Amino acid sequence: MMISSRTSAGAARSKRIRLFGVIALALVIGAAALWRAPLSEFLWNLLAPVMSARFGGGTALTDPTLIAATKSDRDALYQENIELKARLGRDARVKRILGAVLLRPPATPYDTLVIDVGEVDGIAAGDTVSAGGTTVIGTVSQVYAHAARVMLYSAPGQKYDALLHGTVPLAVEGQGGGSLRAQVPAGTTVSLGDVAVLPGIAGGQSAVVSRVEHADGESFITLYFSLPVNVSSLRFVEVWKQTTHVTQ
Amino acid sequence: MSHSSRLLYATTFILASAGFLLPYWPLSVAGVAIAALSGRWIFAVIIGLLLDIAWGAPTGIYHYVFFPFTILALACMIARYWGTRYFFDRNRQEKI
Repeated sequence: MMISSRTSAGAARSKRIRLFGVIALALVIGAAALWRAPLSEFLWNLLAPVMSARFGGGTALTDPTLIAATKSDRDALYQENIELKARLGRDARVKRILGAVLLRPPATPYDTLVIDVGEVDGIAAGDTVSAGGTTVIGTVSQVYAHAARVMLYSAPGQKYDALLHGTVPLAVEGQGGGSLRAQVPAGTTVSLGDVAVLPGIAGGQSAVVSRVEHADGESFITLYFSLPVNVSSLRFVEVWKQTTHVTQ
Repeated sequence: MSHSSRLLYATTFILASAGFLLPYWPLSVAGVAIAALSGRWIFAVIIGLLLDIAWGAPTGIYHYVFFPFTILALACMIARYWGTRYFFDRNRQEKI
């Protein structure tokens, strides 16, 4: 009798421990899903010395003075570009509406954003969305009265036309998680860091080449792109009032 | 902690981190799978979660898996549970 009650107590205890284990596991995975972006950022910051030792320092600008100088240089060139187009009789200015990012992944499905401007502010479905300057990241997919949903170019199944080096036509396809893919004929000169720009007078860089794959005997080179900005750290976006480049 | 246990933790961690640093994901898969199949499933889930957080969701059609390494660790844990039930000798000879 005693042995039997001991056994059943042990079994109940083991069951309880197992239940707590499952609950703890669900909580940990849930927390990781909810705070994936900040956790990822923290982890990469932590691993930065290791990755730097393994893959080299890279060319990222870290000096704030240098960043400010580069940005002002870019702004000056951009302004000059607009003025030159205006002199040639073409107004390349685009009406922009500033919006703040209300929700981002994981609060929204991956590769989508919710912004705080909507129909009342003049937003329409298909408007191009920029992260600032000429860096475009997606299009408005749904418009509500005071908010809009932005579908990033990297969303799975999203396709749009772009130009590599400003001349080579590309059909870029989103793969999810900020990643995109396109193919160009073998023999096209491509290197890491090259940008894909939207066709049109306003242009706008939409993706940066992050990997080039060319198998022997293949007639195409597969290019993998990433979005030019880190979407998880975006606070503001600009909505361009112009036609969309998304073809599907 | 026994010597074999220490060896197993070290080997699986080295495999997973080598897969991350090379980068060659099958090594990480092997590390997580071995850890989970050998019964160190908490360790496997932790390593899997860390890899998933670092690498992010997979691309393309597998995008909606979200946590592939964690799911692999859990799948291996379940496989071990069922395997222990049906295939392994529950009374291991060295314990008699």
